[in-house]
Amino acid sequence: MNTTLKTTTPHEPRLFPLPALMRQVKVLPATASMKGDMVAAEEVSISLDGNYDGKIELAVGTIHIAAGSKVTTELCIADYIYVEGAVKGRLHARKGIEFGPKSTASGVIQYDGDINIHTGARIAAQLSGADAEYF
Amino acid sequence: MQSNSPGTTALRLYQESRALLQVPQQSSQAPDLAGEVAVHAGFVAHPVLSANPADPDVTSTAQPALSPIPAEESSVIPPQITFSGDATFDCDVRIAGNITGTVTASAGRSINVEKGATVNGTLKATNVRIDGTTEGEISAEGGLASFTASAVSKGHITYSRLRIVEGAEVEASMKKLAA
Repeated sequence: MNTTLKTTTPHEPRLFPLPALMRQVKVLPATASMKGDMVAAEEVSISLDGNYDGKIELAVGTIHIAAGSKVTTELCIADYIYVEGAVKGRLHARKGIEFGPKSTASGVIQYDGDINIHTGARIAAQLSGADAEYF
Repeated sequence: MQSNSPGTTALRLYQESRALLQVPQQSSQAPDLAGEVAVHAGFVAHPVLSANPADPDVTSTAQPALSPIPAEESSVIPPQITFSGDATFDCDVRIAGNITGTVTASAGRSINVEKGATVNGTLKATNVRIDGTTEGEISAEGGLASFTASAVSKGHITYSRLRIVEGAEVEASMKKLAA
């Protein structure tokens, strides 16, 4: 008897790499706020749970904008970005970007690889994806 | 009948955690364990994925779970990160990266600048511990300003209690405030 369940739960990331989610560092807890610019030249996976206003540039790594967080940014760039909270501004994912079921986003979304939008996400943004082949 | 199935193991863990928490058992029926056990084990697992459908002891029916035990939240600025700006925390802060600006932690909280980290600017918390390098103002009002042997600090220090370990390089004006 096959007892394996292959259900995909709505809150599990479908694109964002799970290892990055497991090893991410909580830079900004839910009760905290940061205003400024963040840069990393080396690989790092970060989680933002509070309010962030400013630029985030990760040369290698991932950004998790957790549920309940509010991010206003002129640019958020990383390999992977997983949005579960609210974002306003420009997001640029070099490999993939994912929007969770309760996420909201407005502004510009650029993805050079893949995009995954869960049912329930609210997005009012200009999407700019990888080159598509037109007929 | 004794069984070593995952569901039975989960039931035992659940009962043990109930006993430890001194939470009265509400029902003699087997509860939904997966969510609770996952919470107590400290990792995220979804009840539907965690439950074994072949195990009659465990159902996958969603039931209210115990409130998760609140973990003491803290912020970590990892060594790869350079941040310029202002940050305000309602928790303890561990700085391992580089910061230019102001970092404030609320009353009763601590800021620790780790070895290898640098801060140019202002640090405000009840307790401030410096293992790394700082330049600017350090305010440990009502608490302890602590400088370990690896600390290199320049600027102004406000404190209620002060500890400077031999080897620390502290070149600062200081003002003691009432504890």
